[in-house]
Amino acid sequence: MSGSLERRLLLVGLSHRSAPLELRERCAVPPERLPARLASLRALAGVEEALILSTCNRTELWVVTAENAALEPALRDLCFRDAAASQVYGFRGLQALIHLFRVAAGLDSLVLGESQILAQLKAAAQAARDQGASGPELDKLVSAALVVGKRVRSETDLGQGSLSVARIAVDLAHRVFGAFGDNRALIVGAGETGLLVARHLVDQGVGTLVFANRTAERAAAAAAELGALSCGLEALEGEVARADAVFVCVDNAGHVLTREHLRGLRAARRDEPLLVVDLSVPRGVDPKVAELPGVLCYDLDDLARVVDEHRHSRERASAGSDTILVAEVHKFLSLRSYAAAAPAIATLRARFEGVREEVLDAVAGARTSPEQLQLAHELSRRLLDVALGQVKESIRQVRSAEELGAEYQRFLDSL
Amino acid sequence: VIQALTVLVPVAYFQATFLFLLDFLVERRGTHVAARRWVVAAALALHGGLFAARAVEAGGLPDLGGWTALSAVALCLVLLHLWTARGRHAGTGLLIFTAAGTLQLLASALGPLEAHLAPDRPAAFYLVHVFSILVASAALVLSGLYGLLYLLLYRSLRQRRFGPLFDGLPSLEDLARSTRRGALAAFVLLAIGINGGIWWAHAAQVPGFGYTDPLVLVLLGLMLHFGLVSGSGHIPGLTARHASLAAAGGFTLLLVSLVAMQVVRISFHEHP
Repeated sequence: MSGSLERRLLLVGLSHRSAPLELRERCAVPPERLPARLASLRALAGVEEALILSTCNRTELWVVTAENAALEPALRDLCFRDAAASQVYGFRGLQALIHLFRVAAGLDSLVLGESQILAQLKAAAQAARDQGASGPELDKLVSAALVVGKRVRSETDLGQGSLSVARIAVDLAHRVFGAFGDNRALIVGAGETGLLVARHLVDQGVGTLVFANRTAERAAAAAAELGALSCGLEALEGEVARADAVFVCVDNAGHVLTREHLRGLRAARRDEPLLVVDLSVPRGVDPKVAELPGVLCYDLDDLARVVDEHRHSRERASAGSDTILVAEVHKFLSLRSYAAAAPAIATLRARFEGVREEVLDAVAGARTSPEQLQLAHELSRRLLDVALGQVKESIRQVRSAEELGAEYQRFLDSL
Repeated sequence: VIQALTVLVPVAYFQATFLFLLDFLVERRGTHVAARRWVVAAALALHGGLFAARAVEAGGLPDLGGWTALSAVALCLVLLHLWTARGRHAGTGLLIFTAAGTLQLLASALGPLEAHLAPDRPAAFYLVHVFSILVASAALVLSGLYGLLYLLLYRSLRQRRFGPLFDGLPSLEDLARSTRRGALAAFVLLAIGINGGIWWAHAAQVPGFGYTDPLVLVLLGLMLHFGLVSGSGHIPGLTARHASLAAAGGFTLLLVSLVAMQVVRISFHEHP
């Protein structure tokens, strides 16, 4: 990494690896609060560029700071006040870069290799740009990370058999109901995740699919796309009583499903348990719902345990991704170094031209005697020394691939 | 031959159990899956061979009373399981083969080595009675074990544990369906078997038979119990969990009745 960026890039965050869902939902930055939070971040003394990546499984603050600014405590204080020190991680420089590439590749995701993170990263970068919080350094980093994410998925088996939290949720339902032919599934929320769940359910041949959404029109649009039924949230209680599985995928809407919505459950003759899967952060289902008899209720942390079942096969599928990541980190740093060296080389060329002109003038002014020839040699050697000195200085800052591989391994070991 | 097969059959069942255990705990697809198929096939062939050897020694249909009946139930249990589940889930295979291995071990260890010809009785009703009760017992065991697995999986899901049970068992709905189907088969076959037995007992004037005979009462109770389990899906307020609980309870009742028949010897079946 270029000397300056190594000292300037800083990441502070928490994820499913370090913090439970209760904490993640408290630290999440929903879209409507993102501009204000970005402004607060950008307003911190020493912050030059900022970006916030907030998904259901992580909240990370990315900043490019003034040289050696000690901003980590301020960042922790800004977003992670409720978290214990051990639940929040902070990476600087090369480690932050490696972490970003791993996040983009889906290697740090709850579901190894899931591809939603690419869209989320892109959206986070766009939001930061829209707010004027981002800048050239973070833009380049995110662009490179997106390229890495796509490359890892296309060159390893991670891209095969798209796995996502939505897919895991549907697999869980499959374990309860077997074939879905006769079952009725209710999806609360018609956003991206809700649609993803719905598509997986349709693929599995679910009997009846119903969308419930605060905005009934949006539910109707989603339902029309997938040949499903739709309703507003006011009809939720009745729909829950009829459903076999309920998937709650809402954004920052509070507890849309509570014990009160399940009052009719006992009255409705129900042979199999009701499955409730909450894919929202913050949670959309009141945790007390899980206490009701005949209800199997799961949230994202529970799905993480289901994911462990898939981990072995996904880790096999990710074979080779580490090599790609190290190569991409090396490429990124090399390109940065070459870019950093370009002005120096241009200056060098100008100086060389100046000296050369002088030498040529001197040589042209008189016949070329052995002394003059010696002088020309001397001058050219000095020029060469200067040029090489500059180039060496630039290249010295690019680490070898082996060094980066070792650094990458150290990073993995530290996780 | 009978002695050798008596030893080999439970060993083969337990080898299959071990391979199901590997399947259940380690990897789903390994070389042991192919090995398991061969071991299961060998166990069935050996078990079939054991009954054939007994028939040859008896010079006809051997007496299927007592421990030999237990061995026949084990064979029927495995056949029914393979027919209905087709070995798709390691968890069910593990439990069923453990049960079959245990039943056969008891039959091998405690049953007679010599085979006797079945008494000369009205052939048709006797055969209907014996085979219906044997298959019904196997269906009942199957229903009870599936019910037990339902309860275990349900408990595991309620407690949010996604370990080998979650991985190696069929879905809750499939387990509930199998429990009820097993119960329905047990109910129908017990009805046929009990009626056939009563008709035959009257016709042959079997000494000691009466409607208050403990075994007759137990079988009638089991028949009604599993009839209720099989129809529980149509009874308001009864859930798949209740059905599973009842099936597992019925299975326990069967075990108790078998012990009563074999150890306490309280039934007319034990009359000379």
